[in-house]
Amino acid sequence: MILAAPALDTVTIALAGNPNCGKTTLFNALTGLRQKVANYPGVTVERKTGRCRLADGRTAEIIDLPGTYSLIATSPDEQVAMEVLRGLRIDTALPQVVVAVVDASNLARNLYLTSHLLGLGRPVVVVLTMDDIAQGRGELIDPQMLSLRLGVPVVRYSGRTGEGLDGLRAVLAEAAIAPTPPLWSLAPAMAAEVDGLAAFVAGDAERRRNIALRLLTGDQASDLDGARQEAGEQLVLSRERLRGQGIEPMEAEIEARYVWIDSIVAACLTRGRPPTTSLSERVDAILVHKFWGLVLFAVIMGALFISLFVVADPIMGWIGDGFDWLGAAIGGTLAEGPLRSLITDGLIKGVGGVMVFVPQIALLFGFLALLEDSGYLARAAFLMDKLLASVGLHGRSFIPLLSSFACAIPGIMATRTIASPRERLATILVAPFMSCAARLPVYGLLIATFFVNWGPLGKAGILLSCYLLGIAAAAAVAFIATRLLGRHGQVTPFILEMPTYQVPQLGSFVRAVWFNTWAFLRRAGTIIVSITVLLWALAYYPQLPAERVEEVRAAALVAQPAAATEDERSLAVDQAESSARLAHSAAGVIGKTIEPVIAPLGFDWKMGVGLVGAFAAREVFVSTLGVVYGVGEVGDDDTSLQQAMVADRRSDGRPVWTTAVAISLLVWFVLAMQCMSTVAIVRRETGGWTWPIAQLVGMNVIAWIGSFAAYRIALLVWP
Amino acid sequence: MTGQTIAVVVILLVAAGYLAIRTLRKRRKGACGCEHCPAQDSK
Amino acid sequence: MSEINALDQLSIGHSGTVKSIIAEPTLHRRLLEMGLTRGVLCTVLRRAPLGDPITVRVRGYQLSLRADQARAIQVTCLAGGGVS
Repeated sequence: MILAAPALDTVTIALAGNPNCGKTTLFNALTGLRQKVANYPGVTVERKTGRCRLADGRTAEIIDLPGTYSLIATSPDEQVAMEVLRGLRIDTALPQVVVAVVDASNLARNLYLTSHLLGLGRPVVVVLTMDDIAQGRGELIDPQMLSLRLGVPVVRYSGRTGEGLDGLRAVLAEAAIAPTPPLWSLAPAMAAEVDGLAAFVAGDAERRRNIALRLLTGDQASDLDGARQEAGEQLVLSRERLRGQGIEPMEAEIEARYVWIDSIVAACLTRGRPPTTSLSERVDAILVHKFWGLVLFAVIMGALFISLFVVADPIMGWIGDGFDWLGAAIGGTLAEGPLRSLITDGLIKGVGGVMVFVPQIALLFGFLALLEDSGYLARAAFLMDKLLASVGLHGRSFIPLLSSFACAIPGIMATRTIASPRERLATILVAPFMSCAARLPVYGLLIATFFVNWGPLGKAGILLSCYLLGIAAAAAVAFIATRLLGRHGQVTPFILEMPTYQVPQLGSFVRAVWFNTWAFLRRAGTIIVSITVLLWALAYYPQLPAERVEEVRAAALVAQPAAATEDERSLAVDQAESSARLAHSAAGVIGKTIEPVIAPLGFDWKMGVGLVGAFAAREVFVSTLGVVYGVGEVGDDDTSLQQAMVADRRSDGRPVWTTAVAISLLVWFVLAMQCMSTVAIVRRETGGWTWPIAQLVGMNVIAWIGSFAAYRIALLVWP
Repeated sequence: MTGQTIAVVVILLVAAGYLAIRTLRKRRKGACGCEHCPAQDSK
Repeated sequence: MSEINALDQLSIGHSGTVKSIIAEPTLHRRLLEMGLTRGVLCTVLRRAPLGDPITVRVRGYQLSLRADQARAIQVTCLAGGGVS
């Protein structure tokens, strides 16, 4: 029974096709911005629907199904695709029209799914995509002949130019007649068994044969449950009889389909020139080479990191200067008071401190977009598969883990393509170890302040080490986790097809940079601003009463050695005052409470406040430091955050920030789980609280230990 | 001075209110609350 | 006399036609559905570092398989090899 029925004049259309066939591009073109992304209830598979107007004015509700190779599912998303197409999901209406998106450059394999779709008993429209790639290989496909042989309309669509879209809308409006199911010839013995079995099943002649064939070949879909009961013993006997004659029903049926497919391909596809090693393959020969492939991978990643410093640095300087100027300007116009402090110390020092890192983040995303666009990432997955498998992960884990370098949330959602529950869980558990974009401001600040003299190569090296540490931790945890989780669920076959290489378009780089810059600005303008403002309040209030200020200053003056210069004296007194003010504030109290736990790691209470703020958003650590050091400024000097950090002293006169502390803090941020949004997503994807809590506690314990070890070891080198 | 304090209080209330509404909305919708989402589809 | 070997034994650049597949049902089905039916020509294009996975060209496209999965596929080797 279907609970979700569309309005009477709405047509429900499903888009089905192999992964990477251009289905989603078509979906985006048809629906534009009128899309909705949600979840199929009960499973963690993404549900994409949208609306479109057909040529006859009717509204179409379009469902973009997960990519699938066959209607016999081997992963959760294929299962959902099959269930939607067969009308087995109560949350989704039975599609009235099925669009079979066929990748022309992979015709035979794509037609396999089409052969299943033609047997659904509903109108089918074939959309031929990626024709340009096929033509580039010298292959010409005749859509009319294809249409004739398949018995359904065939529309050519180009993802790049959008050509064919209007034609498709017209064809969809007219689609009303279900095609006759294709005839593939089965061996006589098999056909006989199908007929025999059909007699035991209810339904009209055509349906009975179809059902009998599906039962015989091992289709486990739930719509066959009734028929399987009816067939009972006969099914087992049929299979045995066939096997006795050396016929394996599943194999025989698939082969029969391919014989049919081959004849269609032969009729519709002509080769203009003999297939030679395509450019794609020649490029692959180098890029995926045993030795050179890995070397090139390292080089590409290295170049990416170095450019983050070389290209981004000047821009970051301008942004920093801009904010400093703004702060001075506003500071000059307002009278001293809470509002002035909120704006200059809170907003400008706080939010401005984070904004400085926008160029680095934007570049990172831009380069990732280029890599993905070019098709290189599939090759990287191929290279990494064995390595990933050795720690209990899967070649398919590569893309989710790589996405996690931007943000773990889409990365964790992308694990839905991993069929084995154990491998999927392991991937989800280690995804947050991939240093996400939000950590970049923290790394950036620490590296810029404490490794100033190391040059772009050195700084890139440290940054790279942070990323590598995360990867190493992920490998270790994955290895242990899979041992502990034991063997449940089959190991997903690593079957991945390599899309053809494409020259990445400059457009995708620009779009990625633009989109991510805007997304980051929005995030900064909303969450980060809000949290920073509240943090400012925590650091500003309660205020130290005037008499206490005098006491502190006097005490500091007295504590100065006689030999101190005028400047040193006044600096020490100012610092004492600022420390006292901060210690008196709410933030100070919170920080001091946490301090015992983090002191062994070399952290002081100000960092403690920062760490608490970082649980909402990691970048807030930087803005918290900006606020705390900004609010704590006494006197006319307007020091930058970095200068303030370096100048800060503990009560015994030792510097608060040393190289060892910086390293310890870097290690903490690499290993700690601090993003509450990620915890929420892990809860959703694993369906319970056990794993997210285990991950939260476990990662932070690992972070504490790692930070402790790093601090102690670093102290040996930089005392 | 009082003028500034009032302004500060207003700003703080807005900030706290915004964060509260946001957390509640995220709980209900259950959707991905991450602003970094590249939202690029390749499947 | 053509040799019969498992697919993972073929050297790079060599081809074979599929003779049979011996694997557990899910893998068997998936390999067939991806086009590795009897008589189909497969050419080994490359292997990843450490020899695993293997990229094979079949029915006009490139497919990557783990070595232990390729081992399940028996092929009749073609003399001379070469890229096709």
